[in-house]
Amino acid sequence: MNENNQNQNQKVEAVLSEALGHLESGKTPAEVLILYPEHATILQEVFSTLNFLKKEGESLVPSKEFFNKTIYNVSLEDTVTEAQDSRYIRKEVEGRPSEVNIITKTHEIMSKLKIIIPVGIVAVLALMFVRSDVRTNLPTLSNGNEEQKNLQTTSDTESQINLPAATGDVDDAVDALFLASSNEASLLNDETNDAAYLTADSQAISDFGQSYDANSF
Amino acid sequence: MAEDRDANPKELMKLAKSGDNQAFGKLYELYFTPVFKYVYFRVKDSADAEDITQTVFLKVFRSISNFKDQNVAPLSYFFTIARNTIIDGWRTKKEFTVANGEANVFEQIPDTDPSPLQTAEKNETGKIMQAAIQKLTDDQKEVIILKFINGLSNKEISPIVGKSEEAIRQIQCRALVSLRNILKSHNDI
Repeated sequence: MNENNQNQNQKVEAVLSEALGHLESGKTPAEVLILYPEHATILQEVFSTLNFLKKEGESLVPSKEFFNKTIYNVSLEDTVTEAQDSRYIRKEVEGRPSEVNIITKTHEIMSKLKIIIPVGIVAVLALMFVRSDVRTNLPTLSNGNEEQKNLQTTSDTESQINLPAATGDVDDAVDALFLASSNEASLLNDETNDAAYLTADSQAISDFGQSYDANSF
Repeated sequence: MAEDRDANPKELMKLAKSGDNQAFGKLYELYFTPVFKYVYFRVKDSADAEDITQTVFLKVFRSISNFKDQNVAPLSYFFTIARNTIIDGWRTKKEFTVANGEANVFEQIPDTDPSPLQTAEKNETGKIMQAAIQKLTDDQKEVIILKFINGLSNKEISPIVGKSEEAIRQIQCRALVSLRNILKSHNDI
């Protein structure tokens, strides 16, 4: 029974396939039915089904409201088409700042400023502190410098004493004697300076002893 | 088919691809109703059909720059995206279709002032037809909708469903015989 039905269906399918071919080539259903008188009833039923399906399809139309709503939603979409894409790439190549670049650069600068500003403030404060500290110590240092300068000139004078070479000439010998005496005078002067330096030192030590009070600690 | 030859969809696709929104608008007008019909008959629910149709056009708008016009007709492109969107929807939301195939009323825009009796008869026949379509296999359902509701040719259906024209012809004949049997048994009852 099932086999009979299957065979029957296969036959109908084959006929239907041909009949649909005729319809597609422009023949009317009536013309096709004449070609298959044995299967006319079945074909008639199938054609009416087709007709109904077609009508169903034709009568189903989306509402205007839905149509407009969809196109509105689509228009809100920001797509990157080829043209927009190439424009974007061209901008990048020509070095014109794009919106994305401006935002990124601003963010980079802001993040750098977050570090630079506190570091700068600390540096300025440190500089101010160092300068104020130097000013308080300035008089002592200047005194020390003067003494050091005196010492420096003495040692320079010593290094400049050069004895002339013996030539056997009387005039040269007299000149040498004069030079030696002047050297002795400069050496004397140096000794005087040394004595003054020692006096200054002892004075500084005595000042320190006066200002230092062990009980204050 | 339904394809408006004067509008030259391929040319419109090229223009839309290069950023011409007016061209996209024309394509939208051209394919909105066929896509909606296809989706509606596949999912059997007007709300779902509206959501999916909207998604289809958003997807097309987003991906239009990837459209390669050498082999694919714009019509196939739209329908393929619609088909894939429905399949994706089924994967994520399995209850698109109602299990018994009869729970949803076959909603349609009414003809001009039909009488209450005509409307009732039409709705009743529509429900029966819809129920009969739902009893077909997925392949048969798809081919019947594309061929007889959307009016596409076998050549146009072929790239959408990924089958040869001959295979499509066989599927549609088998589907029509099944539909006829289902409707006949219903009338006999």
